[in-house]
Amino acid sequence: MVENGSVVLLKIGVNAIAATQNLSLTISNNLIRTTTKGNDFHTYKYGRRRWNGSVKGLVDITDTTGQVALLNAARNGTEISILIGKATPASGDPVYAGAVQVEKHSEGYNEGNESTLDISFRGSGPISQTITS
Amino acid sequence: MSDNKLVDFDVELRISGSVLNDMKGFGFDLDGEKIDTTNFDHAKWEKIIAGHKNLKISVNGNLDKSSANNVLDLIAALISEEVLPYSIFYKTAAASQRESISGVALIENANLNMDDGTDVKWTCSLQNSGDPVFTNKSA
Repeated sequence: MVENGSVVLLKIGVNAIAATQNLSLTISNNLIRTTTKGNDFHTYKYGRRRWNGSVKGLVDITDTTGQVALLNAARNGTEISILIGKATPASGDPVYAGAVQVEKHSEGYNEGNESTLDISFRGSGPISQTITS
Repeated sequence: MSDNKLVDFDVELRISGSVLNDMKGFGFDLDGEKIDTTNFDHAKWEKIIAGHKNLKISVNGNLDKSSANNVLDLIAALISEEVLPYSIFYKTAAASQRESISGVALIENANLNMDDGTDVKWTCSLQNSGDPVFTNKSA
């Protein structure tokens, strides 16, 4: 069954960030080229890993353990541990965990519209993927 | 690398011998140049790829955790830095005449995009390493 994005949350500890609409996670590796003379096609080995993500949604200033905690982390330059997964993961559901620095915390206020939230974060150290048993 | 023009009806990608089940789109580039697979001549693909130095494969799909083999396996390989054997088959030809390419790949990048109200979408790029092997069953 194809998974629906509505049920995947960004959490700080056990607390989900409120009022989110989009969540994106990217994991990459700076591959190192190891080609030497005599190779036809390039050869590679793994290099440094990195990961980052973003969350977008609506501003909720009452979400002290979620949105406000992310804002404080951005202000203070502190590292926080996050989880990405369902509120209650079922068998086969992935859960991602790691520490991040908040790179950008942006709020938009426009006449006649809901206030919007746009946060991006960069992984600090490893990320884990755990498949729920 | 983002606009894959071949779809799962055309291509079967096997990772470590198992079909990647939740793939929807497939594309590749050679030496940094995206190959237009809209009018791709499958019978000549060995000639098209030969003589190049770099082969990168891009795939995308909608996450289906119930599939036996899905993108979560690729993400696990990316996190644990595994080098994976892969093979690509074009499904448009009869099984006995399918062209295939096989080799080993490193996972360079994976993204999960989780929008409210839509399927979880994923993209992933695989970097071929070393000389691929071509199997031309129709030859």
